[in-house]
Amino acid sequence: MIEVADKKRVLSRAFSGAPVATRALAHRVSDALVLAVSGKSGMASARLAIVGNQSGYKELYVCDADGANLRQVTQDRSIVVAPAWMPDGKNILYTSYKQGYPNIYRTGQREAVSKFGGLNASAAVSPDGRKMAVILSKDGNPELYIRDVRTGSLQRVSSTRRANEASPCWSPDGSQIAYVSDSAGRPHIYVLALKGGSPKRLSRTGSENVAPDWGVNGQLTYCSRQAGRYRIVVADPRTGVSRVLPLDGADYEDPSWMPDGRHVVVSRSVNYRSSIYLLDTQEERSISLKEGAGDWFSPACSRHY
Amino acid sequence: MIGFRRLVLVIIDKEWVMRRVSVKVGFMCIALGGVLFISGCQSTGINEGVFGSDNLYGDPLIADIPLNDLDGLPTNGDRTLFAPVQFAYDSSALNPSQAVICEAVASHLRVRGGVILEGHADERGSRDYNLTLGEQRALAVRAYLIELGISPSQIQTRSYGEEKPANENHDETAWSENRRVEFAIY
Repeated sequence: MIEVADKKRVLSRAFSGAPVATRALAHRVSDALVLAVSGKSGMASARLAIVGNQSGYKELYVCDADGANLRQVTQDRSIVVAPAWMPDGKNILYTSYKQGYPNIYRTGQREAVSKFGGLNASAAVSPDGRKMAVILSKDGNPELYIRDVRTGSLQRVSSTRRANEASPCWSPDGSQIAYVSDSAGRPHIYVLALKGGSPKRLSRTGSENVAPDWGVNGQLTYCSRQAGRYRIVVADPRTGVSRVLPLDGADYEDPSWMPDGRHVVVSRSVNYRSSIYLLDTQEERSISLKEGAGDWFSPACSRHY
Repeated sequence: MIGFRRLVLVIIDKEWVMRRVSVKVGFMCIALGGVLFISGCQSTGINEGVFGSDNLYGDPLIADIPLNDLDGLPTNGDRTLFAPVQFAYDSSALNPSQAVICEAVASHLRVRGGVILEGHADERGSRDYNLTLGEQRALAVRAYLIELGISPSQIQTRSYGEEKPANENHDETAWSENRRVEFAIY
């Protein structure tokens, strides 16, 4: 690839792959071109974990960033909740009831990752792969814990007897966690520095602020209920400045950053039917990725730190 | 609710000054009146059954009693023996008019068996958050059962969040039926 203006070579690289892998190859080429031109990561090679109910159960599926190449991952005939990619971009953590109680499982592993009494949910592994943030109620109330992945030792992070914690996610450098707590009466987004100090509330408006995701661009996205609708917010955790994406009258929930730091994948509901959409947070446009054949929800995008 | 609580406080103070000896009786009357008042408010509009963030039943310290390990625990039970208890929107406070169901469950558990308290939420809000909300509802019922003298070893909680609605419709009636804790008796 040559830049026309100064005839400078921008990209010169050969790509090869098996004939059956032409899609994956095209995605790699596309990401390489985006990186060469803009200096930013592309999103074409990213993969999505989504939950679908077309079988009558809630099973885990994966597909390409454009919604194609759908593959069913679980066949548990149970309920899958809140899938999240491991930082290796290969395995997925999720909550399932396949053994009767809500425990946390990892794809490719039969034994539960976490199966304490009560709730085991919202597992999120740190970018370096060493720690897992998780919501457990084993000590009598839903609280945020951090587990050492290697030793299994648990550190309790929150102590709110009268409140819930949910949905932890890690900052790209692994030094902070954003999560949901209703300790102020309504669910809001809080940011906690792991080196110490008290959690800082980030969301100010909206009757519900849930499902945060921290992108490699340093920005947080979350779902906020505003004027009766669920909308997507992009917020800078350093300044607290936030922006509500002005979309149509549908409900948008569960945002997950694409690796390009510009797009988010969301679930979009109209008349209580849910599908997967891609939102451009700059141009404020959206396109459908996965629609029809049942409901699709809880999208999570793979990421490489 | 805040206004009502203040009112109770003022009345208690008056009682204290006027008739020290019968303060306890007076307080009980007021408490009973309070329960009736709250029950009476129930059918009024949007804040139906909202009792603030405090649970009227269940000692907060019970939130420090650990749950049982899952190994060897039953995973199912009979849900037809007791009606579910219901909750206000985004609330895990046990409704006084529903506490009587918990008391019936406690009577049953004093004789035999155990219970899985299955917490549920309506479909509004994130699935993740609804999971912890359902769990906290189950834990509110657990706290009250423990307060009624039931051993924590007989009680397990299981939150389904919004994943298992009792009523599949998308209206206020369905939502209020879906914000519930079911008793799976084993």
